[in-house]
Amino acid sequence: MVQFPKKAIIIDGKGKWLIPGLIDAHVHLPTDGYFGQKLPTQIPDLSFDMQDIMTPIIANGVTTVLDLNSTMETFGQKKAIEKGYIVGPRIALAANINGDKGQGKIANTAEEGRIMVRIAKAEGYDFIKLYSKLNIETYNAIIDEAHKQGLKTIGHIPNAFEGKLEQAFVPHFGMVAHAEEFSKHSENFSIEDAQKFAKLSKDNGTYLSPTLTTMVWIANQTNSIDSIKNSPTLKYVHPLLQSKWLTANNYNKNFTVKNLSYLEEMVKFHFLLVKVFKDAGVPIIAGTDAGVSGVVAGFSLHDELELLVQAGLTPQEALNSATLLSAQWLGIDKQIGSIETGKYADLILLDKNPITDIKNTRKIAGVFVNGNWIDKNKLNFMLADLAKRNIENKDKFDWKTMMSKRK
Amino acid sequence: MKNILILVILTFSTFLAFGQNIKDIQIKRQKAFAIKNVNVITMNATRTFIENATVVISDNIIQSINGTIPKKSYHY
Repeated sequence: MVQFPKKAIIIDGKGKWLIPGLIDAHVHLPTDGYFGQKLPTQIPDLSFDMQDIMTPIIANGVTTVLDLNSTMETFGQKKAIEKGYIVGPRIALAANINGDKGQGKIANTAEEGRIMVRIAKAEGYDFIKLYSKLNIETYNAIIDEAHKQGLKTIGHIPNAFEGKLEQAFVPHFGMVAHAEEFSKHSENFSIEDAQKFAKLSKDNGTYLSPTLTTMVWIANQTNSIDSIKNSPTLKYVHPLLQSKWLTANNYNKNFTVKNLSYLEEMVKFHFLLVKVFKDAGVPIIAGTDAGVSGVVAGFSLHDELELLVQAGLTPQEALNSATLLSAQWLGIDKQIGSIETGKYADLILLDKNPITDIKNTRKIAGVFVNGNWIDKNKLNFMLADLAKRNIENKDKFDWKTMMSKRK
Repeated sequence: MKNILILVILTFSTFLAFGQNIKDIQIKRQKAFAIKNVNVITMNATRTFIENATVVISDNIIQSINGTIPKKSYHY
């Protein structure tokens, strides 16, 4: 017999639909910024309000995220949420390992790769992210060591595999983080290439997180910066990042008719990849790459679900890609991912049925997150307050001025 | 002793700073909830759909689906 406290709140769910909280398996959470020299005793040049970062995420019913380039500050964010100081999603942390002089932990030999994995394990990371500049021997060693350490791998297919893509599909390579990782290995974006890629993934047990929305945004802003300027979700982004996206936009700077045409063809190919991978039985996971210019955390997951359906998933399959299937890959399906007795109450109450139309995941009546019930009015209040402050502070943040502090 | 006092003050002030947004908007952080008459898309392995269900949550855990609503509950 379950024992309850004396008082319980009753929520009228008549005519409404309850779904599990959504999982975005590819985000980049902003952390404090150092634009000048970073010294041990120096405070950051810019500190984000953590609640402001998390509000758009939870307001969209995203109750779990996988951060794919976590730092020690991301550990702090996770802890603050767990302790209830901030209302935010569960955060799974991935250590980014790259080669050459890239971002994250650097490894240029097999031994360095294994050491970085063991360091990441000791630091408390949950996953390993593989990045583009790894050489082949280091990439193989990282995946092997990660498996030995009980860490799954997700990431890019390094540039070193150009012309020999099949060699990247080694045992325990967990998930490809973008459809682009395949499209860059296709000269003509043909269905034969899509089928070849799907077979490689299927045979190796490697999942795909296509991040369709990212490439749509990249193509749109390459074409015109107005796509970002007019985005209804821009106001929920910190003013400094707004400034970066609008005034230092490398995608837009690289505009040529040829480049835009290539990107538009790539977007179409990514839709084809989703359909072909689905037909081949490759599990597809919803992720957004939120943090890339234009891609706003929380809102973007609903964009991704719509795009997945446009690409050929049923609404239920799309929902599965952001709930149970994602929880299974993350290894937390005993705790979250479906509505079952004994699981955490990560829940979204919807005004309309998402199985009849995936767009209905946006019609949120309330969210249960981390033990909090937040209804539509309060979610709207939080978003409106965030937008108001971002608009008021717009002139205080200029990306180029901040960057001028760099030596 | 002085260091401990400073640590306590810092911890408390950090807590207040973090907690302010939550307090301002009065999010319901209650021990128990019951969602009545709701259509549940469970997304479980067999894709069970439950019409007109009551979902009871206690201490952030789903305690029952179509179980008994706790006594002395109040409507939100």
